[in-house]
Amino acid sequence: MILFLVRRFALGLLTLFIVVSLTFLMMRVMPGGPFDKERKLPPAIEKNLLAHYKLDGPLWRQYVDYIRDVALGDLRPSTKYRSRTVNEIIAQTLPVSMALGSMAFVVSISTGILLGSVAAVRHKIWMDQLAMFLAVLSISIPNFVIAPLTILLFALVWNIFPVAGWGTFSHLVLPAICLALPFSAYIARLTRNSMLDVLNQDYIRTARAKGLSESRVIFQHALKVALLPVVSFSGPLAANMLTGSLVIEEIFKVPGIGAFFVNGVLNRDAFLVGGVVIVYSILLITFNIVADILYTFLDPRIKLT
Amino acid sequence: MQSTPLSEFHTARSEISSWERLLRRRVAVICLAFLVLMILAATFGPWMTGYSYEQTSNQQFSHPSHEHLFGTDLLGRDLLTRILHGARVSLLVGLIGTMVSLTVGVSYGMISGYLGGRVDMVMMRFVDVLYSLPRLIFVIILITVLDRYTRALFTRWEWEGMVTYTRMLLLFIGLGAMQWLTMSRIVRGQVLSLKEQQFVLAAQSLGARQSRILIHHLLPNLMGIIIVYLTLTIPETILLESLLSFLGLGIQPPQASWGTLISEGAAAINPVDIKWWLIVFPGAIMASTLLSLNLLGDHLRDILDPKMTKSS
Repeated sequence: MILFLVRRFALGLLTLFIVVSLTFLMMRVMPGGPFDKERKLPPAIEKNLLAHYKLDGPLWRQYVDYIRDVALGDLRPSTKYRSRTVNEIIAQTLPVSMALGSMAFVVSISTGILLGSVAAVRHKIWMDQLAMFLAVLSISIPNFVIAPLTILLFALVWNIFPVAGWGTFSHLVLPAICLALPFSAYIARLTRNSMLDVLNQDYIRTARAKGLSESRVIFQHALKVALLPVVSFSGPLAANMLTGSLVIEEIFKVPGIGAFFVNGVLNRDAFLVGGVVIVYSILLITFNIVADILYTFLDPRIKLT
Repeated sequence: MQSTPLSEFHTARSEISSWERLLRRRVAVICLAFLVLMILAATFGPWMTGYSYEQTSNQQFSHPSHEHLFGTDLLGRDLLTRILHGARVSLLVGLIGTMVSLTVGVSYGMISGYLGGRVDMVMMRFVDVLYSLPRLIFVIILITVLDRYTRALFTRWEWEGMVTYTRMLLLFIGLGAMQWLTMSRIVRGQVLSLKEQQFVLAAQSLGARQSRILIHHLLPNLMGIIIVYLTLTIPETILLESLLSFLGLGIQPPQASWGTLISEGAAAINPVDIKWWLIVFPGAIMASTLLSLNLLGDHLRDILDPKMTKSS
């Protein structure tokens, strides 16, 4: 177990290093500098700006300096939002994105598992077919179509929730549901398929033969094993939530990390983009490790190596 | 005849009848018909509406009417024409992006699985590492960087006309680069079990070259799975393209794709005057196309590949 953690941690660090290097180099070899505007800056000012942001000198020098700073936890000032450092921007926007993401995560996991189990238990009856049709439907309707529609209905026509913005719990409801919808559909399908597999296994028959109640068979015996694919999907799911929220944050004007990333890319802000990529990668790597650990709790036959 | 292995017998039979089995499913036929209709509409539709997709008029935001079936947008452009034009772009990007990912994924997976051993291990670790990256983020960076490059290049060569198409080209590459991982894993798994079968041994003992075994003996046996994942990858690619276009990182105006249309519709939302048609029509057409592709893919999977469950 400890060996496993150490190894995954080392692999994660390596991945992180590759990710940071790739991002920085790609952003820096891009034609045009971070200070190109409609109006050309006087060369002397541009030179000073580049020097101030440590973007002068040979590329390898810039790269080595940047990696050293990042390793020490300094993500540098942003070149787009001049007065702020990337650390500050992330500290301010990440909690917002995390609140939205974790809410959506909970919604999608709970509704997905519930729908999927119901569909599997009521296999081949109308409930199953309805649930699965709903699932395909919500995978097929992109959430940037659903989101404006929910704004039209729930905010403009019926006035139940605010149109957009951030601050209170009611601001969180619509974006979280829109973000969760396609993922809960995926989870519902996964749960249904694996639940059907599990329900056909011998130990379930044994449990039924012992005279256990049907709900106990399903919740205590079947669900635990049937959730394995869901657990392994939850790592990538967390990542998809993060990137999926790019669109949702844009539509609902949520002041999260996504908008800053898009603006950073468009304005050649290597440090801002680098910082956001680091945050995304750390989250993704952590989630994958946690998913692997959860695996062993659900299925003792699996050993971490 | 008794010695015919069951698995070969099974594949031979299902290849003959799988098309018929598909046509026996009502839902699949409806989806197929809709998709054919959509492709025809995307190909010929933009010439038949009587408007051009970039033709502006002074009728801004007019409601759906006889003159403009789906209404008009901010610049008075006919929405139906723009949706059909967007269908061209979106379907094309979805199709070609998927083809790129298919080619890369299938050949990578086949080589990895067939060679096996240490090569396989290294190749699959590489896929694992790529899996653990935030891929969409990288595609966004990649497309932006390459876009700046090609733009600078075309300006230097004075090929200004090409600039509109570079984005589309980059989307093919970028989305293809993003989608091949799953394909390569699935193909590798299949090849690992296929290469142990006797027909491969027979081909090897007859002295067939590796490339011949891969292309003539293994590839035909992979077709079923490839077709299934083809139908399921196309909607994903279309979705990603429109997501990027929605964020302003994909197709650029005045070109239209479903993503840019929906993004324009979302931008026109305001509490005073609800311009529902700008979102409902492009959204509905896009959603029904994706729905048909997904349902068709599910049915194909049932028919061609009863063992597989969706591994996403």
